Amino acid sequence: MTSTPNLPTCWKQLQQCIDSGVNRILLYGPPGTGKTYSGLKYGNVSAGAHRLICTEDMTSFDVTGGFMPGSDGFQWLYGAGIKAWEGNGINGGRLVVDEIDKAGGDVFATLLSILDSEDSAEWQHPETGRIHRPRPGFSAVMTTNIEDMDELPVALVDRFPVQIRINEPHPDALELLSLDLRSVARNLADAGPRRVSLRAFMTFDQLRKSIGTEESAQIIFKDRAESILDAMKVEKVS
Amino acid sequence: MTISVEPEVLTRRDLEHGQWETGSCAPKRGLPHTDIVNRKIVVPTDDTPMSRTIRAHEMMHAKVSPGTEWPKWIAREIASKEALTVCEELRVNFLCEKAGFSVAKDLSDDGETADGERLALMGDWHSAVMFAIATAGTASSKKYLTGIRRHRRDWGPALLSIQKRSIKHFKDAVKHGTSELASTHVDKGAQLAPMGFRYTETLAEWVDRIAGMTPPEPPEEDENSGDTADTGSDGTTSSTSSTSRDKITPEEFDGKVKRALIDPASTGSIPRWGELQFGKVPLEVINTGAMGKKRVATNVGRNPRRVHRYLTDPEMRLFDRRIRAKGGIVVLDVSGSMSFNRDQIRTIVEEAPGATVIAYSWNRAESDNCWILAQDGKMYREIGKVSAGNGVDLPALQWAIKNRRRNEPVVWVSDGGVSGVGDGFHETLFRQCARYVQKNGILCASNMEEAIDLFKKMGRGQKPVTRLPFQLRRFEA
Repeated sequence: MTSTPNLPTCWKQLQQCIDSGVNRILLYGPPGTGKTYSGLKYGNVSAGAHRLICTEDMTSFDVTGGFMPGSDGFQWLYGAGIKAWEGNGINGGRLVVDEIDKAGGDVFATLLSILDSEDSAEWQHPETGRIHRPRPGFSAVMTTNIEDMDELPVALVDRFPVQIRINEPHPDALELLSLDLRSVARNLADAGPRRVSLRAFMTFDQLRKSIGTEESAQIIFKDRAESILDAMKVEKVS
Repeated sequence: MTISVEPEVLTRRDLEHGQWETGSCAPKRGLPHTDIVNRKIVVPTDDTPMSRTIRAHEMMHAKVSPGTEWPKWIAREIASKEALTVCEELRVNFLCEKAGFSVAKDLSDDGETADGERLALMGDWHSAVMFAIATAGTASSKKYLTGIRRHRRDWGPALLSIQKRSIKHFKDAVKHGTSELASTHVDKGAQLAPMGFRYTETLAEWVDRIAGMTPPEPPEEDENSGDTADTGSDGTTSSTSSTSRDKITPEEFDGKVKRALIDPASTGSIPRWGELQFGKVPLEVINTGAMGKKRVATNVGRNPRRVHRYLTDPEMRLFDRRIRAKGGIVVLDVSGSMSFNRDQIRTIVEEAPGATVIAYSWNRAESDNCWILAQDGKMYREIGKVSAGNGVDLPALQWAIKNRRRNEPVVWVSDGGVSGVGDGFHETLFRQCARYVQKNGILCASNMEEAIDLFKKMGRGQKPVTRLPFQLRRFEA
């Protein structure tokens, strides 16, 4: 990751929090800006990073684990939450919870205990009775696209005192684009109803090399093709 | 098919990026607009070449035009708001053309011929110049000039020449690319953003002067036709107050226009004036007296100059009486170029009894740059060290005009070597001071001897007429 002083404010804040050892961070903002990527890669993740993508149908199986049929009968498989607690056996890893706003009630309840403070958090294995606790160094990053934190349960938000709105793609991700598209992609990543994702620009960049700008724009941006290309012309004057 | 705009694509150095509100309107002059401060843009959304160019024009405003600092640019008073507005239209159109939009072919709403005819018929040279600048380089220009020529054949070539020189002003600015002309960084001279607007300001200052000139007239064909009514080419009669002596031929006019334009490349940005900061000097020495005389109404005399009072004044004070007047404000330039020593400053203050005397000199932003040396019959005993720079010439004069009582005289003791902060010299600042002095009837003295002579004349009740300080004389109107 880039550590230049020219990092955008949101990324700088995230870096400062992680460097200072803050281990509960909530990242929110428009999609396609690299929130999950940074959750998985930023800071010390040598003990492993485990991702949990929340959906309405998801159960606590994905968080703590459950029995699965195997060749020797039913076996217990740990979920992402316990795996992150255990880390590499010495240090705790990182749990990245995506789309937290889409999780159902029972998953919320399980996540509350997983994300509790180190002193209170514990979980008992239903078969062996072993008590699991987060190992030192365990951290959690939650991501969501919702803008209003009031839409999340208070108890969950309370566990994440650091809430950072990621409003533009990380400079490292932008560098994958051609020079003339970088500022445009950065600006449109947080353009409300006119948002265009970084992924769309990456595809456009790839496509225009073979079929030309106009045609690629028609395919990717559809009825906004002309206005986006015109805006890019205006943007280029300085 | 509806096509909107994407103002969120645009990056500016002087304003935060954010979401915009967009709206739709007809492609008619005056309807599309951009509010940069509140991030609102209204454009035609139909799929025609003209609407597309209008969208590009408004987007260019969103990209390069001043936002929150627009009032500060106007407050500099280098150019009028109207001139700044039309010159900004030209800069935006010029940048649109450079960006690849066909402004010269598509930007017109077909009402320009009528506009040209109307202005020519009214003989409104000022508005004609402003409109010519706003439409320069666009498809509107030819139609507008056609309208003008129908009633003022002689104005056509002059306005065309003004348009060409205006466009050249921006062409010269982009010899090495459009980045500086479109820059939204802070301008070092003006300490305002966007930097590219300084080219607009320089041009606007010139446009104000051109619009204030006497318009060109056709050469006299008949020696007996020197009356005040001219017959136009189409037989219409247009009134003009200019006499043959005031008339200026199109050739002479073109020469004047050419000489008046400042080359932006050679002069750089126009520095800003410093903010007046008064330092405290104790006024401990009595210096009573009067510098001038004034007339007051009285009921005895020989010459009834105030006959109107016969009906309004119960005491019938129809005559004049002259009394000694304490007032007057002396503005003393104590910068390095004046080379005043302490004794000379004291002499000047002593020779202006009863007047308010202020001295100014710029050093740096945080320090005091103006001191009241005499006021209400008292003057200073000792003055501290003064700086070498100018920096606040115009603000000091403005302070004097603002604080004088009724028509008290204001005397400016200066060589006219004015400069902005950090000793930023610029022709426009010289011109601005010259204009201000002439407009407000400020009396000038270039050195101590001239100042004392002036005070003596005023003391005798004379009404002296002075010229501008010698460094400003070439800008005399």
